Amino acid sequence: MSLNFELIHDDMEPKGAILLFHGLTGSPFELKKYGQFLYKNGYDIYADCIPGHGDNFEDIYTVTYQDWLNFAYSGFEKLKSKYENVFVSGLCLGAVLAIAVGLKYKEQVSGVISLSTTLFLDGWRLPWYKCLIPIGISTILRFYYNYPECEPHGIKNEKTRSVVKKLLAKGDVGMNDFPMTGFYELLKLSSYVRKNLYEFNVPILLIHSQEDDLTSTKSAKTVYSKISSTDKEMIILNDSYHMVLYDNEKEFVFNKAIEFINSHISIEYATIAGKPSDDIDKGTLNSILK
Amino acid sequence: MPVIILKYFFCFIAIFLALLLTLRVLFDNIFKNNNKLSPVVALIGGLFLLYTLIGLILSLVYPNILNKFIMFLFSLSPFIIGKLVSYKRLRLYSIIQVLCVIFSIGFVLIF
Repeated sequence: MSLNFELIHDDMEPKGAILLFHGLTGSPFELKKYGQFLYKNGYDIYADCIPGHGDNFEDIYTVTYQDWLNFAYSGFEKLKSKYENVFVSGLCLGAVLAIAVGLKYKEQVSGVISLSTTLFLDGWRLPWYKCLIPIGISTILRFYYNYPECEPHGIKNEKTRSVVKKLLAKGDVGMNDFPMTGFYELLKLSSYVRKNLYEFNVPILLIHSQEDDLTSTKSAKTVYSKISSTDKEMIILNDSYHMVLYDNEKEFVFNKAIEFINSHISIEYATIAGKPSDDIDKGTLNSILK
Repeated sequence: MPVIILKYFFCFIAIFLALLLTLRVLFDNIFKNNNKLSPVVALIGGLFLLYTLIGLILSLVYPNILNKFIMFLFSLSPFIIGKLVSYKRLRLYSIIQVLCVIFSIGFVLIF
């Protein structure tokens, strides 16, 4: 069920590498189309399963946010030893991990694309008793409560939702529930990231949906307002829920991501309208350098 | 008089809490595989909150410092145990939690 994937160019020199992180209780499957799109645009893609999300469901109860951080850091270090340009992108928990990587390797990360960043659990889908979540996760109850994966599954597009629903029922794409221990570790990771946001100075693109059912735009706005990066952009989507990579505006998200990545790669890999950098005239090169 | 009412209220919540916790631990598979039972677990969360709040108020009411301290520990036990618990020792900590709640009822009724 881990569905790890790597998309590596054998036929040409890639422009760089992109490390992708999936969301809480998800799997690399949810990043597949996004990864393929980025791959087609000349980047090598790496998407591994986050600890606790593999074949053994019980792993999620024993994993800590430190394991997630170590996994993300080692994944980045591995890529950095091979590639000049390494971008990090993620969805939900993966977005928080991507920011954490940006915090630790601020000099080495070429850019961060953070999708549906989950720093707070305050989306509209959470049940009426969501005010009890802090109690639940601070007590023994976090091992006894799995928040059920339910409609709308983070997807506004009804066709896609029904497909995902079927896949979830088969257990092919991720877990059917959100274990509270997962929330507990996610919130600890979020707290760590929030405390250190002012140190973050890497170029970042934040994409968040106005109608996100799991986490409101407060998360993206917090990141945007607290980081020290001068090169930052936040896009609020109007026709999607949490799973922005599968929803109505997925093409827009893909295009914005590649636009951001292409504009932040080192100059020797820069292309204009698909032409390699050798073909760029001096004036254009200067404007890029500026 | 209000203290007696508070004590009985505390006991009522603690009994209910111990009962629900025991059921949740004993029937783990039934609860895990039935999403409709999720609000029951949320109810336990609510009871934990009430248990802690009333316990803290009672710890302020006790004149004796030792009793104050013991009541304080009882009322914070859900969070202390929550901090210590691990998945490997979940059963053990669950039993400790239920016992803590039961002992706190005895403590409140005696003192």
